[in-house]
Parts: sequence; structure tokens; C-alpha cells
Amino acid sequence: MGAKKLDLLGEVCPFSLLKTRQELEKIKPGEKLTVETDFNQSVRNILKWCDNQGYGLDIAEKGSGVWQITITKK
Amino acid sequence: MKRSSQPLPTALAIIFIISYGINLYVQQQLLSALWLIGISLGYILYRSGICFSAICRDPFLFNDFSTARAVLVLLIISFAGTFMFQIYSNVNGMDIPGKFHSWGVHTAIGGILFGIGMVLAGGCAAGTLQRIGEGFILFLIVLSGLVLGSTLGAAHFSWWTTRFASFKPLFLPEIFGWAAGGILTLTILGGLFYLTFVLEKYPSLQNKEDQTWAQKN
Repeated sequence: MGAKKLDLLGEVCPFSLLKTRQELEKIKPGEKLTVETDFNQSVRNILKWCDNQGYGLDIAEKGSGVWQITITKK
Repeated sequence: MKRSSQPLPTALAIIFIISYGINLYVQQQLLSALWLIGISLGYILYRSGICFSAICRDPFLFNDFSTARAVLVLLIISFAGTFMFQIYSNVNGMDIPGKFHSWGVHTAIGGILFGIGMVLAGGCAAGTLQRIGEGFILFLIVLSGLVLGSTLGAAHFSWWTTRFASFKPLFLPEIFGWAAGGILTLTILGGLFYLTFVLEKYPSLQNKEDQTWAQKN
């Protein structure tokens, strides 16, 4: 099954992480969520929070200043 | 992670920084030093990713005290430097450097207003400038709001100070003496630093709020 997508372009802290967590609540353990953000502080926020939860993470820089984070819920 | 790099804009920026720095040096040496300090501080601010709004926001929203701790360390270091400078000025009979402001109810009201604006906008003054530099156009609107708000604030500042109880500036060394004042300040900052570790262990309160927020939206 493909990852669920969440578009966070233009969103700033703390809303990016709040919305990510909200989406993560909706998916089951083992499923993936891909978030796209252009706010570097949000990248750090999301990575740190997911890491604390023990979620799997994969990050790619899609272009200048746009990041795609794939989170695997545990 | 694959990183995209932009060699041309980087080279142009470096050339501009150096050539403008030389231009300032020719006019007035001090200006070129300030130019370099300003750029260095901006670079450090950007690379460290420090966010002053996160200090007060993230402990409540995400039970994350890391930025709060970083800023407390920053305060302790800058306090030590400023305090030594103040003692030196005092010993040598010079004016004590620093900004001493009166305080009162208006300080709390201003703090709350600033806090609401900062969290809604996603950045304080330093963060806003830093993000404009990163190319985040949205923050130009935040900057306009910041300038407008500060101008309005300055315009009616006296209205607040005359209508509400305003206490004279509090300078701990003046009350307790230099040694005790310094120790007290460090104890308060160190105590807050320790408090972040204590609060971090009790996330139950924040999580409850979070879950309610997530369910509602």
C-alpha cells in the first residue's frame, strides 16, 4: 500500500507538527505517511518528535528548500 | 540525505559580503566590523536553527524543552559576559552598561500580546528576519505586522506607563550587592534549567491537551 500524503507547503511551526501528528493518529502501525514541507524548522521538529516516538524516518530534499519526510508508524 | 546546493548564489553572496565590507572599511572601520559581526550572528542563528518562539511554545505543545534549555544556556553565557563588563565599568567609575526598564502590569500585557503574535506568526523578530533571508516570502507579511505593531506600541507606550503601576528598574546587584546579585541571577537561571528536566518527566498534562486538540480537528 502506498504512503498517505500530507501537503504542508506554506505551513509554519507549530502547525506542521500538529497536523502531522493528527494524520499519524489516523493511520495504523506499519503504515506510512509522507509529508512535504518547505519550512526547515518544521523538518527538525517533525524528525525529532517522530524519532522520540520511535517511528521510522526517511527524508529527501526534493528541491531547494522543499523536504519530503516519510514516516513509518510503529 | 541528498542535499541540493546553489554554488552561484553562494559565490555571489560571498563576493557581495567581502566587497561591501571593504567599501565600509574604507568609509569607517567600525562599520565593517559591525557588518561582519551581524553576518556571523545571522549565520549562526540560521545554522543553529534556534527559534525563540519555540522556547515558550514547544514545552506546552510538544513537551519539548530542548530549545528552552539552549536559550537558558545562551542567557547564562551572555549574563556572565555582561556581568563582568558591568563590574569592570562599576570599578572604573563608568556608567553601567545595559538596558534598565521600568516594569509593571503593562510588561505582562505586552508579553502576552507578543507571545500570541509570535506563536501565530511562527517566529519572533530574529526568526522572522532569518526566515526572510532563507527566502520564506510569507514572513515579509509577518515583518510588516511586526513593524506596524512596534510603531503602534511606541506611540501609546506612555499611556500604559502613566495609567498602570510602574515600578522602577530592578537591578539585583543594587539590592543585594554585586556578588550576591550575580549568584542569585545564576541560581535563578540554573534553577530554570533544572526545572526543564523535571517538567519533561511529566508529559501527561500536555499530552491530554494535545489529544483533545487532535480529536477536535
